[in-house]
Parts: sequence; C-alpha cells; structure tokens
Amino acid sequence: MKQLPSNMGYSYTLRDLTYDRVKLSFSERWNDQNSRIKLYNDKYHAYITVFEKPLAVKGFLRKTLKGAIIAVKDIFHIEGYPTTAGSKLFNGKISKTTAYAVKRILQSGGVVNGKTNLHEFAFGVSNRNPHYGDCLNPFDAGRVSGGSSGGSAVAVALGMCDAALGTDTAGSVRIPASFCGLVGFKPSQDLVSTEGTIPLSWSLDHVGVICRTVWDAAFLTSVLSDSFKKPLSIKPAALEGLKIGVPANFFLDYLDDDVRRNFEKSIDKAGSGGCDVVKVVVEKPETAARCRFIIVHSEAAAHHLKLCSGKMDLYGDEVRQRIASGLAIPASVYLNALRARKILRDRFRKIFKQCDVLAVPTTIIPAHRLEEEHVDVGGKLFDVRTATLRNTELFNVYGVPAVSIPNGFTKNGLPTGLQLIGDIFEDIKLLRITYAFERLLSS
Amino acid sequence: MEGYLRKLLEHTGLDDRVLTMLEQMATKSVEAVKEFLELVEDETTPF
Repeated sequence: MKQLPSNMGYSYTLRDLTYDRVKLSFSERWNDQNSRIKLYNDKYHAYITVFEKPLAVKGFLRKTLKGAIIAVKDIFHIEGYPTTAGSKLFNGKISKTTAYAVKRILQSGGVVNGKTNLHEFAFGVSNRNPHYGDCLNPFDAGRVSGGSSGGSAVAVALGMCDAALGTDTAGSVRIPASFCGLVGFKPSQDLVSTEGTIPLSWSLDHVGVICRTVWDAAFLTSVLSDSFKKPLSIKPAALEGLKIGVPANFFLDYLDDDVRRNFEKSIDKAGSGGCDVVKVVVEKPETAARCRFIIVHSEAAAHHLKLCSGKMDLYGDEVRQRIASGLAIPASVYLNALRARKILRDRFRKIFKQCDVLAVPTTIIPAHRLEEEHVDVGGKLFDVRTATLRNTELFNVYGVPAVSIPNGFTKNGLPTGLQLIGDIFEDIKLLRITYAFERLLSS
Repeated sequence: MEGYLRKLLEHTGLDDRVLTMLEQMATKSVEAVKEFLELVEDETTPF
C-alpha cells in the first residue's frame, strides 16, 4: 500500500498503544504530534483550535485508551473551549457542556489535543471553508480532503493525533477517510449518542470515528458507546463462505476508471479468499437520495431559523444558500420524507437475507481538485458534491453501519476506498468482516 | 407561495436574489413528494 512521503508518514496505532508496543512516553508522543501540528497546520488547516495542554482526566495512562491522543471535530462541545462548527456565528463563545462522546473518551483515558476543521456547519462534503481555510488533501494539496469531517481525517493522516472523532450525516466520516487513505466508520444510528454536538440533521446525524486501522475503529467505537460492556478487541471473520453483496444497480453505474478497477480487484480478491459474491438490487436508491436531501435541508433550515435571523451575512455563500433553500420545503413534504424513509429502510434491510455485507466503492471519484465544480464520470456530468455523496448518503437514510477502508490508489497516487455495509446493530459482525478484508487487501 | 417566500426573506435578511432558488427548491419538493407518496401509499392503502 502506498504511503505518504516519509517525513509525513506515521506508524503506530491505538492497538500498538493498547498492547504497550509504543516505545515513546506520553510526553514524547504529545511533543511529536504537536510538532507535526506546528509543521503542517498552517498549510493543511486540519485544526481550528489546538490545545496548549493535554485535556485528560487524572490517571489517564492507566485507563483503557492509555493516553491515546484524539482530535475532535469542532462540532462537539467541550466545556471551557470554543466550538465554532466551522462558522463565524459563534465567535467568542465558550461551550458550557461536554459532548457525550468526548466525555466517554476522557473517562476512558483518551487525551484531546484540539478541535478540527470541518465544512461550515457540517453542511457539505468538500471541506472547503471560507472562515478557517480549506482543508487540503495530504496526498495532493491541490485537492480537497473531503468532509465534512475533513480536519479529523487530515489530522490522523499527518500524524497530528492517534485517531479522531467525526460526525456523518451523508458520508462525512467515510468520505474524508476514503480521500485521505484512512478507515472511517459510521456505526448504526444511535449506537453512539449525538448529545452535545451541534446538529445538522437530527434524524440523520451519526457520530463516527476516523482511524488508521479497522481494529482501532472498533476499539474506539466501543469506548464511545454504552452498548459495549468492555472495550472491543476484534478478530477478523473467516472469509470462507461469507456472502458479499455487490449491487446490480445504481452504485456501480458511474465510476471513475481507477475507482472501478480498484473495486473490481477488491471483489476478485474476496472471491479468491473464499467469499461468495452475490448480485443484489437496492430498491429505489434515487428516492432514498431525495429523501436524504429533503430531510437534511428541512432540519438544517429549522435548526438555523433562529440562529440565522439577522446574521445571514456571517454564513459563507454556499451554506447560506443551502440553509435558505431548506426554508422553502413544505412541512407535508418533509413529513412524507420521514414516512418514506422508514419504508425504504425496511425494504433495504431485506438485502441481508441474501448477503452478509454489501460492498460498494465509498465514492465514485477520488478527491477532486479544489477549484473543480463538475466532473465527468463514465460519460455523465456530475456536480462534485453529488458525485462525492452518491455512494454514502443512502446508508444514513437506512441508519445501517458502514465503514470505508483504503483499497488502492489511482494512477495519480490518490487513495480510493471500499465501503462495506451491514445490517442495523450488526456493527461487530461488519467490523470483523472488514478487518478480514483489510488483511486480504494488504496481502 | 411567493408571499410566504418573501416573508422568509424578510426574516432571514436575505435579498431577492435567492427568491429564484427558493422557488426551485419548492418545485423540487413537489417532485420528490410524489415519489414519497407512491411508497407510502403502497404500504398504507393496499387496495
């Protein structure tokens, strides 16, 4: 697997920390990561706020996370620190509460080193930000990091932290993870509480993690959720006889050539590894995409109705227009989108009678250039936002767990991602299968 | 509808330039709801 240039690469994982394989002391790790922030943050804009001192509880090195340094998307409140949501709207305000997920990290011995850049109010997937700078892709600084949790992905990729927290309403954890060559996991809806985050769309928001490995993603997620009695140390699933669903419609219709090649290679490897590859049909994907669009725009507009009053000039042009347009959606349309969502989710879940997990490319294109607005994919012109979201947004509508892992590179050296999707609350099964895929793809 | 949209503009402090965008969203909504209703009717009115 291709690595970042040697001066940017970073080698250890949460698993290494857990099993005491890291030779550096906590202070040495903190200083090393801090020096990377000093070196790269002015250019890549990964962090909005860098903490001068470690935020941790007493005795953190003896707890589960053993002082793992976690970056937190600046949409999670942390008491005593500013929370910007990537906007200028909250300038000068300090949070009075700490988000549930952050509390879990701190109580488990994690250390927070700062708050990461995001697409303004998490309402976009490029992570271009007019207020705090565009988050740049570590593999090509002329391209986007992906978002909206782009700062979290860049911070992990450049070794500024050990892992990071993000949120995902339509792909905001999986997309930047895919664009930056990392693992991004969005658990089943409600497995991790969104309490203490600034909402984009309360019906579709999920908390997720960006890590270097699948094991790390499982471990960190288990710390965030009260559904697990003890931290997860997953083992890879046996691939022999597993049924991998590959969609016969929609998801593979338009793909960048390199994305298609890497996806087909991944599926071929799964077949060689003993998996049965089965074709499945996802019912009414376009309707599910419209459902997502209506729900997110309606809820974002509702949330911002008070915030934006008289302050619309503080928003960036793109997000201001998105929020304003949501105000024009009638309540009857929104409510029927919610009813349709439930039906679509129930129908989608029937797929898991035919296969153990569904596999699709995480995005139909690799990271696009900063200035690019449209891309030709397989002979069809897409705006870059639609292209970026196409293969991730539906799984927020369905509320199912979905994980993106690196599955190769384009000819230009940009990472591509493989997304595996499981049934609701079968997160552990999904992660164990993905762990097996991770090993298979790196062999 | 235009009266409602203009009231929204007043509230948010947006100018007339976004009126066309709001109208486009209203049109999109009507198109989308047809698809939602087809699904909902399948489930709730099985005649």
